Amino acid sequence: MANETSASEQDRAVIAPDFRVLFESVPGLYLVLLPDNPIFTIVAVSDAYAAATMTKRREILGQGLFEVFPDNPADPDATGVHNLHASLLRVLKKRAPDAMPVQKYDIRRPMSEGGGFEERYWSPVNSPVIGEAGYIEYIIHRVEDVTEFVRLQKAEVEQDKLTDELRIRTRQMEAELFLRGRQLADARELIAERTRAEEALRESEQQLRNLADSIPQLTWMAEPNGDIFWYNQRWYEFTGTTPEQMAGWGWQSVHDPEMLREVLERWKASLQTGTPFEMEFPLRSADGVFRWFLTRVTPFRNGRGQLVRWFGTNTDIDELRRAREEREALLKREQEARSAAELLNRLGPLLLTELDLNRLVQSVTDLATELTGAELGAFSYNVVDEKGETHPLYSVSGAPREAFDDFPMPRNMAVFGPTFHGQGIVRSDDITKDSRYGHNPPHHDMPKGRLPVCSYLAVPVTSRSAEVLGGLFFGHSAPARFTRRHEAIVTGIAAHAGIAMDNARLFEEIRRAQRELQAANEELRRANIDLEQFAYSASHDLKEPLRNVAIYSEMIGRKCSNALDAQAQEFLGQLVQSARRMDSLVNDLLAFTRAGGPSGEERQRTSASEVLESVIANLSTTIAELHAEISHAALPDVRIRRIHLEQLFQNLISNALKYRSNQPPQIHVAAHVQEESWLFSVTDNGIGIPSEYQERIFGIFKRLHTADQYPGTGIGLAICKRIVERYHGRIWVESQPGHGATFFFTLPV
Amino acid sequence: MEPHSSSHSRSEVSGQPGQLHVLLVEDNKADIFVVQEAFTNYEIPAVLHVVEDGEAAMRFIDDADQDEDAPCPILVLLDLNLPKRSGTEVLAYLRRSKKCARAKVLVVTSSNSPTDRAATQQLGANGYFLKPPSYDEFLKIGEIVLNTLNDMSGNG
Repeated sequence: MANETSASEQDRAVIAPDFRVLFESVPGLYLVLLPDNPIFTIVAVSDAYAAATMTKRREILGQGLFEVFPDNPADPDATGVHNLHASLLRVLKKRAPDAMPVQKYDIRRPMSEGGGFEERYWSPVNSPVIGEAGYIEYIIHRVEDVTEFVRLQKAEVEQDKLTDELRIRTRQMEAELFLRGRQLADARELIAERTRAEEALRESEQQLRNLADSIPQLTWMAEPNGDIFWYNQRWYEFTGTTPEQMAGWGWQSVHDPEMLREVLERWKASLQTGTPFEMEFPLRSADGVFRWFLTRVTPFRNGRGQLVRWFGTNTDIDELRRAREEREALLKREQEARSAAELLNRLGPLLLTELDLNRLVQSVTDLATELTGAELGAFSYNVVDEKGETHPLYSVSGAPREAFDDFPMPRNMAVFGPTFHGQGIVRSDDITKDSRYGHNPPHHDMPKGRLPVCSYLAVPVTSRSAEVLGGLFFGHSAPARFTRRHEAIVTGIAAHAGIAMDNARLFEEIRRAQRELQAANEELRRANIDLEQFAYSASHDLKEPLRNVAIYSEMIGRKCSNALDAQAQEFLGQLVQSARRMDSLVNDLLAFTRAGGPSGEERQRTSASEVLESVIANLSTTIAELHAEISHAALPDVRIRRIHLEQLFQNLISNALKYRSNQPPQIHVAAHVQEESWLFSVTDNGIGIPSEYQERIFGIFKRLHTADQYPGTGIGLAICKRIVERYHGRIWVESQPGHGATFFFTLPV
Repeated sequence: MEPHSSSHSRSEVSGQPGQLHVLLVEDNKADIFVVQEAFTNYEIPAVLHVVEDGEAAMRFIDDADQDEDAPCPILVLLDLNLPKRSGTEVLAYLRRSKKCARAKVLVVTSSNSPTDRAATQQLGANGYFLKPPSYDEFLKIGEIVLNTLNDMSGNG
């Protein structure tokens, strides 16, 4: 292999550092294995690897991989050996690197540290090293200890799934980048270790380049002073440049001019301090499009610690970065949505419960202003004065009310037209440039002192009946502050606010109507009391002279009987009769008056049987005289003033006694429950009522007989009707002349 | 028809120890006549004093309070519709009297208003007699007065 192609010769000479030392001291965790399946003899190990696995180099070199790292016998689910073996077999078969998913692979603790196994997680990559002859000569096993990460991950159960996935992907990708970026160095070290001959070195150099050309990263090597002397093929393919263009510091031509300064600063700083360089920046591709790369540059030192080479990789992270940006945007949106949702959650109950219109409107304005991030917000009623100009501001948020005095927002300007006419939403990134703005005579341009509004959003608030109640207006001094999302939020709020305002307005109307009704009721009640009092006074004043007429007439009859002849005595008798009848009329008229009027406040539960008993007691004398029998079934309690039920029974039973046949009166009172009322019946065995008069008898002063035949005022049944109707009941009679009569009336249950 | 003159009645009876006094406050001549008839018919053992308006009734009470010898009624028959001061005012005045506050009061009226009934009951009226439109019926007030006086002497 010494006589390789002259191309190798033409390349720059490679300084041959002590690769074994280099390899063993690299910061990564590396094992070099022989492809002697199934033993996989360990032929090299980095210090870091030995430390991480708690092994010693001299103890494991020459040992089989799985002898050194068996499965944890205490873990029945251990799959480490199986998975690793499978990966190594894939490498052998496919002759290509094989990255394994994160593995649980517990490691044996030395006896000096108590023995047993320690739980570990690894991210391994196995890569073949293919020799000149085309055989796999070694397998580089590179791992990263991700135990901490996995533990962390396990602890963060609640963590957003998206975050996890992205993190793992990023982690894997980075692990991949690191590994591949270092493979070159590894390869070189291995080669150097195998043979120190320059030919072999050149051969390995070629091998290295082949390898470097075969990986997806752009890679390059630079002198300690930063002069890049070699790029892999991918670099030239991606950038579409030639080695001549790239020589030395020619790489600057594919950088984004805006980023270049920072790149140079940081790269020079690394060169000066000899520390690794890491940065993300875009590189221009052959077709002129910039793609983002993660660039890592590692310094390599010889055994004496001298920096001998910079090794750089550029990994295409354009998609990763885009995913990251998308995720950040997503997170931001989600956060906004969450805070919006919080505000809306506050708004929800408010809209449902707030029936005070002023407070409701203010709250809606405040919340919507907060949600849109507006500097000022206002709700304005859809009211136009006689001049057709002003919409009075109803509530403002974010600015004192006075600030709106010179503010044209509530004016009936062309720009507000669409909102107040319910035509829709107006959203403008810069309202001052809107053609509708400033068309409001006499202010053809912006008046002085106004709030500086640039971004503008207006949404009509409509009622259920599509009536425009007003508008929500939002302003911000910076342009383009309101997005489609804000528009959607405010539209949602406006829809709900419209309903809530409807409710509040209805509630206010109902309250007003209730107040009016209450006032009217109170007035009516007072009027009724006045009227009743008046009726008493009037009846008293009417009755006094009548009583005098009656009493004086009687006294004349008694005291002066000697001076009167029979005819005079009879006339005096008629006079007394008339006066008494008039007295009865006045009494009954008073009762009739009292039977009317509004019902309601005086409704109480009255025992019908008690009332009937007291009425029977009142009439006991007459009942005894007539040998009448009055019986009754079980009677209910009813909602009626006691005096009214008394009058009902008194009149009906008096009538039954009065209009008796030649039989002793038999009267029966009963009650049956109906749908929503009690049906009372008073049945007698009296003279009965011809059907043609059965309605007329309930009219006032309607009588079927002369006072001589049956004394009475003709008011009794009218009083009954009035009382029953006062309680929304009905009264009627069923009768056949000569067969008695049954009076029915209904009362509420 | 002079016997209802209050001054006359008082002079006749003043100074007689153990004598019972009834005061009728009434402006209706016919009603005064009937009550006097009732006192005679039922042989009521008390002197009937009559005043015809509310103010006179209050003066009667004042006299009783201030004058040792002036009669103090144990029963007042009180009409409500009176000239000058109403029956309810007289009733309230009576209940504040030093000497006559414990007198029984029978309201005698043609008003059947529940308001009047309630108001007088509230002020401590002991009975309510609704004037009937009949001489004979009205005379029965004598029975009520007699029963009341008997009850009072019976109770000591």
